[in-house]
Parts: sequence; C-alpha cells; structure tokens
Amino acid sequence: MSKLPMDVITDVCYRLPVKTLVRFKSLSKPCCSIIDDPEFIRAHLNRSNRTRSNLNIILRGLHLYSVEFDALDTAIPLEYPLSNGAGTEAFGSCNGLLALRMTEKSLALYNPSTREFRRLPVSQIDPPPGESCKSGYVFYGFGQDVKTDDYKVVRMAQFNKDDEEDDEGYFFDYEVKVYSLKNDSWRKITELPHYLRFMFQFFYHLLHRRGYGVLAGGVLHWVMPPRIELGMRTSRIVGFDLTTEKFVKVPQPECADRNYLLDVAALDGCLCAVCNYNQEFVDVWVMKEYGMKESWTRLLSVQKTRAINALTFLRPLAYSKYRDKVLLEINNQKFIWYDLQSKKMRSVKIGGSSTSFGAEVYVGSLVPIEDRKRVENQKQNEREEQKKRNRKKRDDFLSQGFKLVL
Amino acid sequence: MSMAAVETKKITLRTADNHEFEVEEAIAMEFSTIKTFFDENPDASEDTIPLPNVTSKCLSAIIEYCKSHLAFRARETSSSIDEQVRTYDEEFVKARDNESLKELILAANYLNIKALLDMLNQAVADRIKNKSVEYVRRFFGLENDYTPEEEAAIRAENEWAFEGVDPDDD
Repeated sequence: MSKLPMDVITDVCYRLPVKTLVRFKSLSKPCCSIIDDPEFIRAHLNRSNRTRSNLNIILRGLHLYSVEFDALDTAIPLEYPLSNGAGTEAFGSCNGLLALRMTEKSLALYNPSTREFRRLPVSQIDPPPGESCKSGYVFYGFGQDVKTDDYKVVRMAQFNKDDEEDDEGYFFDYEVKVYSLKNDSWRKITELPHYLRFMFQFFYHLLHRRGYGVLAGGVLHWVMPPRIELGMRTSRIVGFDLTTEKFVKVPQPECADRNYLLDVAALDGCLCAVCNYNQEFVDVWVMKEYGMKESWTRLLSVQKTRAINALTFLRPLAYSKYRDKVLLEINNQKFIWYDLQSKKMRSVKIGGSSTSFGAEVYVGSLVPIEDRKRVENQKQNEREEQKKRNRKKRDDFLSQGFKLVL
Repeated sequence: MSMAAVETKKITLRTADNHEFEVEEAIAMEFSTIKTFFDENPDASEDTIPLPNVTSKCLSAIIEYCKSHLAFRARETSSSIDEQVRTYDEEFVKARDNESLKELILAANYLNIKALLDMLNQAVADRIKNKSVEYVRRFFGLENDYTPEEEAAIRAENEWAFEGVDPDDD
C-alpha cells in the first residue's frame, strides 16, 4: 500500500470543502496541525476565491437560508446558536464570516462552515439629550481591515429630535462606532463628515437592505441619494475605510443619462454601481481598479421583460464558475443567470426558502473567530495558576499540620 | 542535433521494472525533473535516464497523458477544447482504483509534472471528500496518534461534520 508524502496530502486538503476538513482534523495530530495552521487557512481561502469554489448564497428573509452556489437548487435553513425564530439579519459577510444582528443589543459573528459563533460585547447607543434613536435608524457594515488582518463591525445610529413632528427632517445627529475583533471592543468615531447628516433617507435605506454597507477594496459603501431640495441632483457613493476608520468619497461612473436610482453592490470583490432607470432598464457598472474613476466599465444592461415587467431592485451577486455569466437577484424574488456573451437571461428556481429575500454571497472558509493562540495561551496560564494554587495549598497544609518550615 | 527537420529527438527512459521507453523530447520535457536534468547536463541527451521510482505501468499511462495534453494545447483554445480536456481527464481517472491513483501521484510527484499532479490530487479530493475518517486514514496510510479520549473529544466538538458521510465500501 503506497503512502503519500505530507505535501501531497496538504495539496489534496486545499481542494476539500470546509466540512470535510473539520472532520479530517480527527485523522491524526499532524493533519490537525495542518488544518489549523493560519497559513493553510489563508491558502485554502485564496484558492476558493481563485477557483470560485466553496461559494454559497445566503437568503435573508424572515429566516436565514443558505444555498450552495455550484448546485443552486435547494436552500437549507441556516442554523446557528441563539436562533430564536424570525428576525435575524445577516448584515455582512467577509472571508467566510457572517455578521448577524438579532437585535440592536445582540450582534454576533458566525462562520457557518465551521459553526464557530461569537457574540459581540454590547455597546450602548448614546443619543444626545433631547434626541432618541428609533428602530430602523441603525445601519451596519462588516468587513476586514486588510492591513492588520482584523475584522470590524461598523454601526451608524441616526438620531431624531424627540419633539420634531416631521420625521423626514434633513439634518440628523449621528453616532458611529466601530468594533474590532482583535481588540474585542467598540470605539466611537469622533470625526464625522458633515454630509453624513443628510445621507440617510428613511424609505430609500430601509428598503432592500440598503442600510448594510457593501464591502469592496477594504471599504464599506453606502449610497447617499439625491437631495434636490439641498441642491444635490445626483447620488453619491460614501465609503468608510476599514483601515483608516475614516469616511471617504468614492468616484462614480460617468453615465450619459443621470436620471437613475443608484445602488451599490460587490461582484468578485469589485465595487458595482447599479443604475436603475425608472424600473425600465438597469445598467450595472464595475469599478475594475478600486478608486480609479476611469476604470468604471459598464458590465451589463437588463431590460424589463414580459415576465419581469418592472425592475424594482437588481443586485449582481457572482460570476459563474467560468466567468461567462453573472448571477443576478431581481426584485428580491428571482435569481437570473445573465449570459455576458449572448446577453440572454435564464431564470433559476431555488426551492426551500421564502418567497421574498435579499441575497448575499459568502465563501466557505476555515477562518477562525477566536484567536486560537490567545485562547491556548489563556488556557496555559490558567493551568499554571491552578498548579500554583495547588502547590500553595499543599505547602500550607504541610507547614501548619506538621509544623514544618519550608 | 540533426539538421533534418523531420527527425524528432527521442529520449530513452528506463523504469524500475527494467522496461525501456523511447519518448519524443517534447514529452520528456513535460517531466520537470528530466527537463532540469538536461538543462544542467546538455551532453547527456543520448544516455538512458533511469527512473527507479516509476513502474512501466505508471510511465506508460503518464506518457499517454502528456501526449494527449500536448495535442490539446497545440489546437486553438476554445470552450469546446476545454470541455474535451475535462472529459479526457475524467476518463483518465475514472477506471483507476485508489492504489493505482496513488502510484500515479507518487510518479507524477517524482517526475514533477505539475499539471498532472494537480489533476490527480483534485481527483483524490473529489473521491475522499465525503468519506469517513477511517477510510481516509487507510487511504493516506496515516497512523492515528490520538488517544481514545482525545479522539472522542475532537469528534464530540465537531459532531455535525460527521453527519452524512458515505459508508465505507473498502
């Protein structure tokens, strides 16, 4: 019986799905070390992204469902600890980690592939005196600070004046806080740009989960819709840089016709501008080089059809395995494959989930939430402390009981 | 080196079981181990190269694979060619049992034929991804160095990963 060398076994492991690798930790201690190794985990993730494998789609409705991207047929309920029925939202995904919101006070990070779950510490929302934060006015984003390999959650709470009768006032106070997984703590952002005060429009952002930041190029993005009454005729894209923790302005594509409703999305890590022209047709642009205005390229254009006679919302999700098609979510109801060559569209039926959903792509990965080294060191320290206490107990006993001088 | 364009250079390889194979230079150059050897010893091209770690059964299959892939590469790239390559690779692996697959991997690893090794490793991954821990230990020849308590603990921690596994058929 031939025996394969460890580097061949490692190469085979790169190609295995996460559930298999979690099981294969039981093969032997050397195998477990390989699978737990941060370098292996990173290479496995990179390979998944490069070859477009281990991809899944989260369907967010009343409940959360997950469907494998390769098969795209049946959605299965996403199980996680503390699932207490309806209402959990997944507001972001990055490198296989999902950010979940059960309530404003109950946020968590979850890796559905390894089933590792971790609650975030609670951070109060502190409105200034005379103001309050109403439900529906809190917005979130989740992503990775690539520079420090840290995962961060951004929370923006908008405050309304208590005695204001008009709900759609123009100027709002904000609180922006950032949670860092590495520090396991929240930090308030003190420098807020002035335009934030009129960024969020209640109806625009509450629909289609537009309150969740879109991650691309290490930056979380939201759209600031036009405010004609304030002299802003076009939408703007606002970004929050996860490394510098500052707000940045992001260049938009130059479209000949500017009468569109703007949405942002991410496709294969690149920022997309989804331009909706009166629900009749939608153009999707991709910024091929992050931050470079000239690199905005129109990728595809979708017209309304007899089957879909109004395009209320369109989100590009992912390229097909060979990059010849793009999977689109339309009207929070349908999945469509758009063929980039033939420009034809084909509907996809996914069974098992609710009829209305917002979709998001996530990659299955071994990325850990707990810092294993820190946990190991903590356990080691605890063992040392326990040993010390035992030794002291024994010494006390001996010296008192037998009147020994030690 | 002959000036005539018709004559293609041939390299002789001798396997572990003492069979000699004459292969075209282009094919021998697919074996990075051999290519490196010739790059460093340009006068050695007339000699027979010994391959003590490769059986004739393996070498013959590997030569077939390299020949076919060279032919595919000579044609213009298109999605139908890609499809044909995929089908060829599937057929190449399908009928082989685990032992034969492992022997090919060891040979491809020794001869350093990256594309073939990638393809074979992927085939192994596809074969074992739903298999039990015991099956894969046997497949890889791994020794279980966990104590019974350790193994029970690690299994309990990841119980869900053990669901839906294929029953062992070996």
